[in-house]
Amino acid sequence: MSETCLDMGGLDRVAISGPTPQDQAHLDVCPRCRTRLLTYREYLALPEESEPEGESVAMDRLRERLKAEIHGTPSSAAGPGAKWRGVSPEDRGAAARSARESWRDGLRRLRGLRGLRPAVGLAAIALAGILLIRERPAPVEDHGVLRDRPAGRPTAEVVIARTQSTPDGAVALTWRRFPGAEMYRVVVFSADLAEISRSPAGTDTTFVLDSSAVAALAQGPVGMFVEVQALAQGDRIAASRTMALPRR
Amino acid sequence: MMTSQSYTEVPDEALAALVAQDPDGPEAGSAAAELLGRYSKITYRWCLRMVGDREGALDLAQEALLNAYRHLGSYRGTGRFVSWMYVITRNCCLCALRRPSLLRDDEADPDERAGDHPGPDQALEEKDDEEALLALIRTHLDPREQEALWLRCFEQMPVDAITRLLRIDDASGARGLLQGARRKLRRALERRDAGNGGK
Ligand SMILES: [Zn+2]
Repeated sequence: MSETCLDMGGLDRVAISGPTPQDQAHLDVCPRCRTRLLTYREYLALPEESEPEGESVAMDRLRERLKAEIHGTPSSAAGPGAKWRGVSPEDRGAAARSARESWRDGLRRLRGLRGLRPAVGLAAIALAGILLIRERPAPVEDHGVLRDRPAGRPTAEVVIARTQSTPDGAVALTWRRFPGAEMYRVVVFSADLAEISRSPAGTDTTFVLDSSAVAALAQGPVGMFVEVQALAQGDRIAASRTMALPRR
Repeated sequence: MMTSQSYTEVPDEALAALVAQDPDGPEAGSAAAELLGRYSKITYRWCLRMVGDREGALDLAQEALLNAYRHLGSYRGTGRFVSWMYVITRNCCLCALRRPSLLRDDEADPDERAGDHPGPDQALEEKDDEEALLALIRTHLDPREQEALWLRCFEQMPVDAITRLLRIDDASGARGLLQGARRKLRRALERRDAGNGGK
């Protein structure tokens, strides 16, 4: 069923022009697409609805805050209690840099980082041949979509992923589907956050790192790190927290 | 250069393209303000519907609009801008709301099962396999129940909003429909597990 689920473009087309016989046949058997169409039509109809109480005040505050964010000016109408959770691109950059640096500093406290380099090269070669993504029919997804990490929330909540060692030495990664994501890829980093390798993008939500790849990656004294990245239209829209690859 | 006055006639998609092409350009700020200003009302209304309180809706709407602003560059222009905005707003709400249980009634105490062995229903939910849940719902529920339960659990829509959306006239509204649907699903799982010898 999921092979023919409507993507956001399809839902929009049906919302505008009505379903084709083929769309209708699918809608009849797919509660997911029926409800997504229902909710999307509901959204499109919102401007026609009567104004909810207090909306004009809310709109003033919202537009002020938005203007302040875009033009970088203080917002008076937003009021002292206003919580504009956004941050400027500069602040975002600084925050990201600071997080990255503190993470690196923490890692540097682990000894032997230099000794990792040969293992990195080896691991990259091993990994390139071994990374596997099992393909399954693509789930219904949206086009050009994002669900960015809301400010103040940790990345860990964005794509929830976990690693598990199997008895034969492989490592299985599993994660939850991320709304809006079309594909996922697994990226392996060295301890100093240099990207070593990435899997091909795929639609599956599991990933198995073969035992020989794990062995190659685990040669360094510090270990490797993996991250699941959610993609839409080829762009990374979200990621899991960066997890240490289990070492044997 | 266009003045902000002249943006009012420009379609959403063209404004988005203007910002995406040159995010630091002289026109980007005014174009983005005009574009997102157009979506303030619909975004706020959707958030209000999803969270039910005005302050929460305002916070969530600003988060959605800010997300859109940050990512205008990723809008490809392959679909209508309104559908792109919808996805962002919807996703923002889904992020903010706790996902209701597929099998436990909304009134049930979430901790009531604490200490129990995880039952098959819990195991199923924890697996979070949307395809499997979809198959289960389709097999055991009638179309109306399917829609109510999917809206509640996957679109995370509040019960009263489902009542309105599905135009349920019944006094118990969507609540009754959801209770019935969950009961059916629990029974189906019990039967399935009994058939599997409790495995
Ligand atoms: Zn479908």
